[in-house]
Amino acid sequence: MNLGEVAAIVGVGDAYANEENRKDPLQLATEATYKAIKDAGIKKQQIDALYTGRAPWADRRPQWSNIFASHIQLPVVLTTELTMHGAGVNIMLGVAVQTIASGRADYVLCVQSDATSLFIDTVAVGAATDADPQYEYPFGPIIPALYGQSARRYFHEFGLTENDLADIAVSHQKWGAHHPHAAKAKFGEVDREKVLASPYVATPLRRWMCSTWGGGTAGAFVVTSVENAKKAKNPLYIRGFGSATTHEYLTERMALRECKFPNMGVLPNITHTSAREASRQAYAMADMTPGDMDMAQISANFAHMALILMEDIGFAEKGKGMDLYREGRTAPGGDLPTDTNGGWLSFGQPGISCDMDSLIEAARQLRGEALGLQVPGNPKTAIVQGAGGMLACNGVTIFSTEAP
Amino acid sequence: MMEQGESGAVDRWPEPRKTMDAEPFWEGVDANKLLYQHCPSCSQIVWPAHSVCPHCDATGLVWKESAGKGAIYSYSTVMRPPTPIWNEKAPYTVGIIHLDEDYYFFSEIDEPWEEMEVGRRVEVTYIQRDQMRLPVFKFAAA
Repeated sequence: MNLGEVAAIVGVGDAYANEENRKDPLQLATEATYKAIKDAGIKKQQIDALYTGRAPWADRRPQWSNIFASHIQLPVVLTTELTMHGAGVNIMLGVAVQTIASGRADYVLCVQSDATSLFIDTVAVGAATDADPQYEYPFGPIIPALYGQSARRYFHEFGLTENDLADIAVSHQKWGAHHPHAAKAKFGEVDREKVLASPYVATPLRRWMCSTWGGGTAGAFVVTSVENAKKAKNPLYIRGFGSATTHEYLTERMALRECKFPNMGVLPNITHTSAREASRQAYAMADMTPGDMDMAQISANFAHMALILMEDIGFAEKGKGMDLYREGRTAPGGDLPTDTNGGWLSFGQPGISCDMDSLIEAARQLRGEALGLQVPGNPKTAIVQGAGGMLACNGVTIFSTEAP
Repeated sequence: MMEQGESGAVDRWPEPRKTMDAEPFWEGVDANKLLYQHCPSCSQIVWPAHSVCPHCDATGLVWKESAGKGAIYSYSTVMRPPTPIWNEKAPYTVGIIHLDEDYYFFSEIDEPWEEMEVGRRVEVTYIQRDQMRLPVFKFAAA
């Protein structure tokens, strides 16, 4: 059985919040879920399984998925959080496919929400990072300083500079300036000078090269069999998915001298990620190549990660990702529209639902219902890559308006 | 240790959450020694501390002492510290050091941030912070 021929998304729902219009993660998830159920044209009770990513930072209760199932009064046979850090939000789609393929569910709900900046002291979140609590945390790193290690190595190995990172931020903002819910939309388009004038957060990353806290978001998908999808309007077929993790903490990644996943570069390194393996699985399942993708939505939380990830998911050779940005291919009007809501850099980070924002953006674009700039030309196929942890975990999902 | 999202009532220097595997390492730090593990079965270095060799699955890991000398592999200078207790220290630099014994160690490089360079030679020293002793690195003498 090819898992890429099993299931489709038949219902999509999303929800948004900000300081003027506050909603908590339960409200956001509820709003998105009911939209998705209505969009799917099913009754709530038809849902057999409910997956979420890990609990939102704005409501960190264990058993989040069961809490939400109960909140909407939905007994199900199976519910769990998919972790692998935030990448679980991307990975849960593939797990929904597996659940349907096994016959354990006819309809699966996948949902995630968060609203960190609306409810939590975000400085405190930054303090307890994805740093190793024994070997790294005592030295006072912040998340940008951990990712900054990878940026410094990328400069060193491939000869890039801050100017290049600035150009990546500019490209993201070209999309973000036009999205009504992008955290940085209010700044309009920016130029290289403005990015380079912003202060360092942790070298070499300046503020404009880093994601910012967004308000609140939620996304929900109703997933079902391809057979059921024949009755749906606007199904999005899940053609391929993959996942992989290489480590938890940076110190452990630097101890990884061998890895069974191919094409990880000369180890140890922190310029290649498990997005390589996750995307390899997804392309193989879909029987597609990077050239078949009409767009990419990735998890670049820092400017240099856009390069690393676009390379790892196959759009450029390692070290050459900058060409995609220099040639304008990823920006509005380009042939590889990327992060079309502004991406994590410009759309912002609501918390765990950042990986969901990428999925929702892809879904809206493929349906011709983008909230910001619409990619023209009737795009059919999107690759969505979601990361979690300290360059640690990756999920990749490919979906298409074209049936397998 | 603070969980993500918790505001600490008392702002303290963060202490290492010590694992039992690493107890000899911390005893070494208290005695101004930088220790690491070695696997006699496969001859590979093991760091961070383990009970079983992650490379060849053997037990019987032994502890050795590093000369504490190496080169900067990567670095990043923190300009916006995580909690107020770090403010006086900022900016400060955290990085990965490639020790000459051929393993990688995360630490602070206690030198002016404008002088950091990948490849620059460094040496370990030890600092006391409240009840905690930590290895940090300084530029090696020319």
